[in-house]
Amino acid sequence: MKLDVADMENGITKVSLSGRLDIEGALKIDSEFKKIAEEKKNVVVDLSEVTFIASLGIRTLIIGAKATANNGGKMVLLNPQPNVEKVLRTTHVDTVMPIIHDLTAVAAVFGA
Amino acid sequence: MAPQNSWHRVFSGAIPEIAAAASWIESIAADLDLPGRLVFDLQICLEELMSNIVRHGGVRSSSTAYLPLTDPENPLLISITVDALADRIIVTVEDNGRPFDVAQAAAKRVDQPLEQLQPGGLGIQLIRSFASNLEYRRTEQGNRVIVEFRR
Repeated sequence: MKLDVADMENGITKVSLSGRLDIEGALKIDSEFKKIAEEKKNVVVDLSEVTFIASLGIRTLIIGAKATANNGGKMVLLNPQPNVEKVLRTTHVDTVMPIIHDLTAVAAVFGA
Repeated sequence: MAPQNSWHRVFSGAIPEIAAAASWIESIAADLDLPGRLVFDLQICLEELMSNIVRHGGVRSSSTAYLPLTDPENPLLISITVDALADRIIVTVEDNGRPFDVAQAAAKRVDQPLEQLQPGGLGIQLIRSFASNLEYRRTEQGNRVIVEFRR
């Protein structure tokens, strides 16, 4: 599991994850992901290179989303692969973190 | 020689073993030429079942009390059998840990705003959603969960 961070325009931070967000992957990035979410306001999480997600990976995302919400911000999920998106929608994660498939739509979601 | 249609392997109850089981299932799926969707379904259910056992099953029931499974001669073990039938794949997961009826456990979804939401606990819902059938039996040694997947 790999995590990269980049600043975008309008104060938006992009976190790109790659690999398997299974129990091992989640444990590997948990603290770094939480720290980024606590420090930033609006975060887009690029999931396009995430090949698998399980409940512990969802937990990581939810902890991050709660941290951005505490800062008055939001977390958005970008381009999950179909199987990963199915997991996110099955658990209704998309009700608290919007799923988008177009990076140009990010600014509109954040109202930036 | 008849094609293989049953596989069995025992994993120790440790986190790295979950990824090992995922790779094992992937190689079986490749032998069976299963579609990617089904491989994902198998892997997510196996991940959630093993994750539950590894995180919560590490105590053994005895006639009087739950005892930690710290005895090196009696470690937490997860035994997995995969049976390939013409119309479905059956995965049987057995462990010697604490009794836990996964078929009766509450299945949680995200159903609250972020502020009130407690992270975690979504695994049962994933198993129920991604398997075609789920059965639980308490065994003398621990737990047996049978999950089925339509091919």
